[in-house]
Amino acid sequence: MRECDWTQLCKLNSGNTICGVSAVVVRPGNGETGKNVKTVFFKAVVDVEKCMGCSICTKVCPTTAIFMRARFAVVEEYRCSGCRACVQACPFQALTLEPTDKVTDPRASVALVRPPWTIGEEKAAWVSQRKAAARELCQRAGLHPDQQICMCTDDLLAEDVAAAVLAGKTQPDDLVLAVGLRSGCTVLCLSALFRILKAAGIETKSPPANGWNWYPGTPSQDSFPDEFDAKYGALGYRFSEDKKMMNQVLSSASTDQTEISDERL
Amino acid sequence: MSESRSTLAPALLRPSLYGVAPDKVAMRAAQVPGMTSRLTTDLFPDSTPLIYPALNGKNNVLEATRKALEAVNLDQVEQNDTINVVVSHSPLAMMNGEPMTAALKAIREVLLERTPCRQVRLRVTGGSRFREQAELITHLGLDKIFEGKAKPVAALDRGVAIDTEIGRLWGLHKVYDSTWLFHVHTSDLREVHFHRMLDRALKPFGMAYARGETRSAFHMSMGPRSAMFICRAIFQSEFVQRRYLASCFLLVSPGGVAEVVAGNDLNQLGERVTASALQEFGKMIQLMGEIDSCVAVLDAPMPVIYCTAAAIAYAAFASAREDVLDLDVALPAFSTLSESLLNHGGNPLAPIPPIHPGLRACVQNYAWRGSPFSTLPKLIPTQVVGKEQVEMFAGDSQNISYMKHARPAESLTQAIATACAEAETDKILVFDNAIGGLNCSQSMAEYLDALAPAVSAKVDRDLMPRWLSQRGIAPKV
Repeated sequence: MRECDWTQLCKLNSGNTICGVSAVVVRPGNGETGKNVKTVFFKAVVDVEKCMGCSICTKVCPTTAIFMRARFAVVEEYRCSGCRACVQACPFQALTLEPTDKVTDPRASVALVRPPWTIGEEKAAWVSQRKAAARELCQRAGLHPDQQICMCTDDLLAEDVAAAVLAGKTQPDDLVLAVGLRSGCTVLCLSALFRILKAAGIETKSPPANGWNWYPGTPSQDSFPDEFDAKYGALGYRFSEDKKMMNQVLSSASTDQTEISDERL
Repeated sequence: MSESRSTLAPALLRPSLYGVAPDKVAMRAAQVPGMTSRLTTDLFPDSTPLIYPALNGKNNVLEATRKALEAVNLDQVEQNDTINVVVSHSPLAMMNGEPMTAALKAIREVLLERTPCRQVRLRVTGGSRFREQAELITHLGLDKIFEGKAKPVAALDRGVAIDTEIGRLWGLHKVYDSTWLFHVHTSDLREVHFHRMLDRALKPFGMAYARGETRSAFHMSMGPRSAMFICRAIFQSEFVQRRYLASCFLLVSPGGVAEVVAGNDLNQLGERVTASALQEFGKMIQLMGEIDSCVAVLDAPMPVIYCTAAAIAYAAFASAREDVLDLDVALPAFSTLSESLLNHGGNPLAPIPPIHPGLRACVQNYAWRGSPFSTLPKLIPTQVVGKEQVEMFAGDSQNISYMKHARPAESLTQAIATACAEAETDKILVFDNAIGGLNCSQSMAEYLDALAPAVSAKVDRDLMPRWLSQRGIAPKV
């Protein structure tokens, strides 16, 4: 049985229960923010009748969960975050997201099966163990530790990502599965990801052969030299004012906010 | 004007990976009893005359495009060259795609007529819905117009390094895989909460024509009055300059298409695009910012944030109480950067203005997933109509908490009644991408009628000179 996914479909037909996920038990803590990042209820499935072996899906997957075997795409289900990037990118519409009760590892000699899992379950422990260092890493990356990094998962802060990096999750694909980065739109969180890795002095590895799963490096407010105000200010750009605003955000990372963040754990 | 008039036709629904099947939609907002409409010209009689919608509107756009292209120098194009005509999804989604499709047809014809080049290809780029471009190409018949040479390009497609004044950024390979690039866009206000009408004409270079990494930096890594420089940096790069051929823009207004302009000098053209956009949209967004209370009804084949009323997007409306065109305003109420600076407890980490206090409630009759926007139902009481739509949003990987904040509703009329009761207003504004004006309740129509003259005078007298001056544009432009 799955936990309630808060669709509230059960309320739709006034007492006539329609439950999208067959949930009858609400797990303690479900729906409380900070308890998890994302429970994966969907996995990418390849229709081998439609797959033409172009391998584009392998090149866009944020978790590098797809590989080619005998000219067909194969999904490592236990690495699929359900982001839908492959589904959208496939020119032959050979991939779909299907609800899942279990996922398997196609590379394991003995089939590993596990139920849908929650991405980010360890993040609370990581943050708890490395809170000060994680917040300091965020500052070096030019990010407020309490800043939301992912707009899709709704509960992923800069300090979560920094703590995961400090805990050894140092590559873009690992971080997806560790904290839920890139498990939705796959795009908006990329700059924060690269800024934190750079601040930690970690070199980002290249994606698997010929892939374009990610391209490292990103500009920030600090990329604008001081002379830009004079050079481009007449067009309306306000580099110094924006830099000042962003610096004020950073300087507001106070003890009080640490306490707010602690309550989240 | 206080009489009731019939509603305008809402945007047509079409099958899409991102929305509920059209046949599952029981009723459109424009069909709700008591709804009426206002044309842009009802509210602002001095609006620029339109070539679309109009009698022979499609043909008007086609002819205007051909005429505008007479000013473009194409002499440098040679026989064995290739030209990528590049357009993003947003102008193709406006006004059911009809005017931009006509413009693209004319551009292709002229390029074939006036250059020896036979390889004129179309590249349709997009946002965070990676298949929308392919859907548009098929839906609008662009593959036929370009004789099989139309390709969709998505944010996660193969990248190409572009070295710029602020370091290495990433473009999309398929956009730049030609000898020449012909840039096609509009002056639409659309994401004004992101671009702030700064270098508007260049925006696609840093967004729709760029890889996700570069888009992320635009959205999340810098202040909104600096971020647009990413677009300029890419456009000014040697990589782009050696490919850039010319540009063509539909100058649009809240009512439709006013004019088509084209040229080789994008900086010069950009001034005109910005001045036109400020002139055409400034009054409408100011008017919407003045609304004291309303229920917004979303009802268009667009992601929630892009459903429009009189061409003002729902997300821009959510920020409209503050003047988002005023560059002295640092952060808008709603943008991805503003969202990211709301910490877990919902406390702002920066001085972020509140969401439009007049936006009391939202009813989502029909809208698409495919962009993160869960903050909106968190801040604005939102109802989602119909089991199919509720299920779709509950399963959206980009909005995993959307239905945690929004409530399901059985029917549109029931949802509107509930929203009006809870919001204590009978003023309803419909974001259904209707062309020519907006649909609304009678009370809203009368309210807008009363407000519009003063707003118009304020924009003409105080705001336009200020907006233009902030952007270094002389009033005559």
